[in-house]
Amino acid sequence: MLHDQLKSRLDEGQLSPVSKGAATRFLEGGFPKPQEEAWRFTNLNALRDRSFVAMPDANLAAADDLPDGARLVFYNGVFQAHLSSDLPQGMTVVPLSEDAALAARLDDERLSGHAIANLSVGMMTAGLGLRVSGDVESPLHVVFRNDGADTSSHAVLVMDIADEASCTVIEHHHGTGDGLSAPVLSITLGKSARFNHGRVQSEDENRNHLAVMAMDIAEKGQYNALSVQTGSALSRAENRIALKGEDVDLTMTTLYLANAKQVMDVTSLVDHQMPNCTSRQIVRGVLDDQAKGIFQGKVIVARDAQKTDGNQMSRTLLLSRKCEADAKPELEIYADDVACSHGATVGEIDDNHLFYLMSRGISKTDARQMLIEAFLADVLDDVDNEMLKAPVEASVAAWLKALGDKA
Amino acid sequence: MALLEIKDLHASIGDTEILKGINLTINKGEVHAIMGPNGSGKSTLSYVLSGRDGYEVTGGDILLDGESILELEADERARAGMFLAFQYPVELPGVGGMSFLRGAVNARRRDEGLDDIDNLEFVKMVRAKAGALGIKDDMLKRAVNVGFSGGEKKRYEILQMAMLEPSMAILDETDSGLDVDALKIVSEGVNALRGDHIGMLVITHYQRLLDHIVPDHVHILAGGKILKSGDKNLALEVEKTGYSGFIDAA
Ligand SMILES: Nc1ncnc2c1ncn2[C@@H]1O[C@H](COP(=O)(O)OP(=O)(O)OP(=O)(O)O)[C@@H](O)[C@H]1O
Ligand SMILES: [Mg+2]
Repeated sequence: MLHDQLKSRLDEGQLSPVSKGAATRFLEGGFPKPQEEAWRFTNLNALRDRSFVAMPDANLAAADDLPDGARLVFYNGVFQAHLSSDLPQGMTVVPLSEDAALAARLDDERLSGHAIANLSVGMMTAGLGLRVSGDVESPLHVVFRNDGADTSSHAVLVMDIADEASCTVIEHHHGTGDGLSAPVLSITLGKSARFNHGRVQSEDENRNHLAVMAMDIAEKGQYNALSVQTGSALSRAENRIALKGEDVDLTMTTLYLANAKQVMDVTSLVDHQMPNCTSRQIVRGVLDDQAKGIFQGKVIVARDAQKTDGNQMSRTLLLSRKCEADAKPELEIYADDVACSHGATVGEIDDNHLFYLMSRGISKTDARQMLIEAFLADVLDDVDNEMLKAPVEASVAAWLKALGDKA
Repeated sequence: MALLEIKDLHASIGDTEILKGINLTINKGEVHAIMGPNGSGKSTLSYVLSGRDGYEVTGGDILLDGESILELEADERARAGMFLAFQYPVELPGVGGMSFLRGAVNARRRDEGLDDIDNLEFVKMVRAKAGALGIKDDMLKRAVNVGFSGGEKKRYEILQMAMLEPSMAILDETDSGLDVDALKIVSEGVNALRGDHIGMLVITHYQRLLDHIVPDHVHILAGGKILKSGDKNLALEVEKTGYSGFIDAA
């Protein structure tokens, strides 16, 4: 069990200071409780009673379905050097145990104050550091494979993208079995660095997925993210981002598609600490059956962060009357000269749209699919980075196909 | 056998009866015009014929090629040959025009056991038909009806009709919103589709359209009933005297 495993790791006295602190904090607090504001909509009670076992020696002999090109592979949370490829020039990996500076990033308050991050950092084996410098054209795929009932996986990746560097990294989260995946990412984006970040979470429908990412962006940094979640019974992708220099430009487009009794949670914190930064968060959710979607987006604008342009917009499309959409967009503004906006809408497929398509001979099932695609196309059309778009569109297409097959 | 037979059709929205016993028979090759005051039930008739949800048929029947279509969904009716050019075409943000047209054409073909249309052939066909209707290439690339002017939307309806080659076409005020030149182009487009294989029901307020698309029969619909039927001269009469004479006489 996780508790016992963490305890014995502490008792053995082999843990790094960072892991030790994290393990200690998780043992004190355990899984977040629904009374905590940040976890009001996503209830982890069912996880607390489970007896997950982490797999520090996880080893996957071979896999034939890994993405082509440059890749890093984690299996049940443990980095698999033998399945990973050579990296393009400008990218290097290092075990966190050999890079104290990168490991220390995990001590950041946004992670050390987060129960799930503490669990994974406490459980971390073979955490990985990735350093990027210069312009890296070809994308790096980071594969998180998780297998097994009652297992838990705690991948930890710390990225440092140097000043002026640029790269594209795409996370692929796949898994089977009703285990828990709790990947932690810490990313630092240097001055004028450009980072294109893709993410596809398509774990099996009975897994649990709780991801946490903390990121710092320095002056003139550009962050462009596109992600989709379709998998897991319970899925939360949480981003905690600090804009630490002027003229940062951030665009995050997040999609989630859920059916059955899936719970999908998109939680973000964008902390504008300096003036003249732009942040744009776009969330699109599609919910079917009895699924539940949650968007919690908080934008903080510090007193010095004048001329901030920050907005977040969530739109949810309900395909059934039994699903639920909760949205909590929040603005916390301490500066006086800012342009910020936020909003959340929930709607259904428009009967007039459906009839128009059907009156042309298109079946109801196909018409609904076209309209769901249209709902998402509205934001996907704005993404011009094909490297990010292709895997996300493939994931959306697979979900829509399953929806059509079900009808 | 008649193409379309509407027999004592009664239809309601909620508790309100809108169509109060309509009888109308359309044979292949015929063009029928329906005129009638605002709110008389013309669009309702077109929706009930094409199978829109929300209308309850409380009496009567609709036969297409001799078979009742009351139990068929809108898409099934369309694939059986029914087509409605909307009075108010619907904007579909995010639905690309070409994939919409291709989806509609292929839905019909699959029903007939044919393979999907060859992509190149399809594009050529759309271009040619769009060109004849004065529809610009750029419009074809946009989302369906989004940002189209009123007149452009009407042309786009006729383009869809040309692509789908229905056996029974209902045109609901296709002339409204068209300028004089566009009216001519669209009418020519419609006339080009006339023939022995198709029946048409043209709903309009204006004799002007019927100068271009000359009907075989004209019907006056008011208060959910057909009050009078005649030949094309009936439309001229309406133009001169208005509807009050017919309504009072009924
Ligand atoms: N959804 C609805 N709910 C209630 N009443 C409706 C609804 N739709 C139409 N009606 C009513 O049904 C009647 C017929 O409407 P319809 O649109 O068929 O008229 P029309 O003859 O097409 O008029 P116009 O010439 O203005 O286009 C009107 O009185 C209208 O108010
Ligand atoms: Mg009308």
